[in-house]
Amino acid sequence: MKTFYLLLLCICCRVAVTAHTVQVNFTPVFGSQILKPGQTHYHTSTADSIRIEVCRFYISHIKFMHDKNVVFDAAAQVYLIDMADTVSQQLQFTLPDGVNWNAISFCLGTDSATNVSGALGGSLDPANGMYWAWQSGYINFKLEGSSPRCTARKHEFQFHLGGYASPFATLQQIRLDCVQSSNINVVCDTAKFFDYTDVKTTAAIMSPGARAVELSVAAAGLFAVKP
Amino acid sequence: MRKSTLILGLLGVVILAFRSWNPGPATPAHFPKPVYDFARNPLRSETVQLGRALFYDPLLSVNNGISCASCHSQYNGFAHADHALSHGIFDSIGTRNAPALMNLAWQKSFMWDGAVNHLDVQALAPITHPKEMGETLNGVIKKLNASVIYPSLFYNAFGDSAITGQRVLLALSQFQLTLISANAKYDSVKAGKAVFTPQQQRGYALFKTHCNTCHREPMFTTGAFSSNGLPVDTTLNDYGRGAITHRSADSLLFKIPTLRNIEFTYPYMHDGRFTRLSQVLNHYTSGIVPHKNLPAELQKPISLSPEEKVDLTAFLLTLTDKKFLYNPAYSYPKEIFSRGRRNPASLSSQ
Ligand code: HEC
Ligand code: HEC
Repeated sequence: MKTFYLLLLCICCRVAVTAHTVQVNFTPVFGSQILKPGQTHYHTSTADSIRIEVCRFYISHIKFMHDKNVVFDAAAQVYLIDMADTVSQQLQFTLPDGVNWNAISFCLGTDSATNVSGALGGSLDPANGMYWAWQSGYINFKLEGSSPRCTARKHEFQFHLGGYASPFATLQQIRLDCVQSSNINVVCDTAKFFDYTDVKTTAAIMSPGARAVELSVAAAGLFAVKP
Repeated sequence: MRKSTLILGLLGVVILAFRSWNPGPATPAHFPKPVYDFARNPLRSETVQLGRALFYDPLLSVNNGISCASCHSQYNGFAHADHALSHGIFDSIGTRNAPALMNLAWQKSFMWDGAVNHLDVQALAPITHPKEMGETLNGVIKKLNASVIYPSLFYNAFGDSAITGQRVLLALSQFQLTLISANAKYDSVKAGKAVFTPQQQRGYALFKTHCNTCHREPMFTTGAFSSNGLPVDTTLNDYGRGAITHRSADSLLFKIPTLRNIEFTYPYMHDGRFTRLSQVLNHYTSGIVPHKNLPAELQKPISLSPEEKVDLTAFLLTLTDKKFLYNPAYSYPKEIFSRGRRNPASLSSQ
């Protein structure tokens, strides 16, 4: 009987603290255009046309912040954002009412604990194609496409950025200030990626190392809140 | 307090609900604690059997021609007897010797260079390697879904018939985790149930003097990366661990292999360059080529008289575990495959 009351109490508590949903959208874009597979985009600074075929990345450790304080921690979940799957881009969180926040913080990539935990499921299932086979570890950020400027085979470039072990850890912490709202739009502007690296000189990064770290820092700079 | 008893009780019911629930295999008394976290992937006989079927099924390769067991055969301690370098689909030759598989629950890293950090994800490497099985994990999942036997094997193992990459990998791990070799004569001696012959005893003393720092009892490896001074094969230019960490201090280091069942796990070394134990011992006495990462123990050549080599070999043969090599629980699972048609690869209804 005691347990019954306990249960009842729990249910009451849940109802008493009202909550609301905040949706955070992660949208891969190229400048002002939303990324779609097979579309050609124009990159102004290199006067180059670029097709993006694949843009996928992991977002983890999402936190809602007020100035320097974490006010809501949605840590457990790791999200795989895919340009080809709009549902994957819409993340929903249930926040208790009355929480004030003015920034979100998140990581681009998977943390080192995730990388040494064996076979995981859901967004982290190796069948999602974001896991390296020959050397253990997740690909945190994947960008593939083609450009006439690229001298590699079929003008194709492939950036698979990842690596969890020091000194080549690629996980990036990102903080974006924003105005509290039930709908936050974060863009990942892939056009900026090509300001950091020239596909003419580097067409592929496929393993952990110093270059992967540099470009991961660059990838973190692609994220911004769109008002 | 009442609440906690209730929760405990509930937990008990949940545990009982999983028939044959068992967090890990019985650890041999003289072994250390396993490294593998069985709490995350508790062994169940149904899952072990699924893993065993997968291990022996050529369906995992792109041409349905090569299974894990093609390169890891039980009678060789799950190494590959006939090939110095691994032999995969369409007769392609890889760059390394297939290592023996045993006591994997006690291993911290996998592959000769430790490129793989967890047993669960190891299978991704051979499945996708163009010179090994040449498949993709999604390709495997598709074929498993189309097969006659697998949906029910997954149902028995996981409680529903969904076939995911994670489940394929966890099941393969489960079978491989049961490959425990702890019944050699050496183990009986340690348990006080047998005694070494005088020759084996002399060999054991030599082993402890010259080999035990790296091939440490009772696992016969420390699991560390080291070098035994093999000259670099310039047709392969394999720098081992160094290529993974990009550190010059790791150049030419390879994972110290276990010496359990060494009588049957030939050919030896990462490139399978030696076929006989006598060649291995000759290497340690007169073949070591110094380099900057050669460990101190091997800087001075090991001196062993011909009689001592015979004694040391006699000891190494006490690491043969016939119960392991002939354990029917590890063999080709005829009883599972016979539920479908004869050849496991043809089970797929395409
Ligand atoms: C074509 C031959 C071949 C096939 C097929 C193959 N392996 Fe291997 N296996 C190897 C080689 C070679 C290595 C060592 C690779 C290295 O060090 O880079 C290895 C290493 C391993 C290891 C690591 C052992 C250790 O001590 O580090 C495990 C575990 C393993 N294989 C399991 C499997 C499983 C499971 C399958 C099937 C999914 C499989 N292998 C298929 C050749 C093969
Ligand atoms: C300094 C560490 C070290 C010492 C001491 C050492 N070994 Fe090794 N041993 C290794 C390493 C590392 C390998 C793998 C080398 C490779 O493939 O590149 C190895 C490989 C072997 C192999 C091949 C195993 C296989 O499955 O391929 C045998 C057999 C062997 N050692 C026996 C011995 C014996 C016997 C002694 C003592 C006389 C000894 N080792 C001393 C480090 C050592």
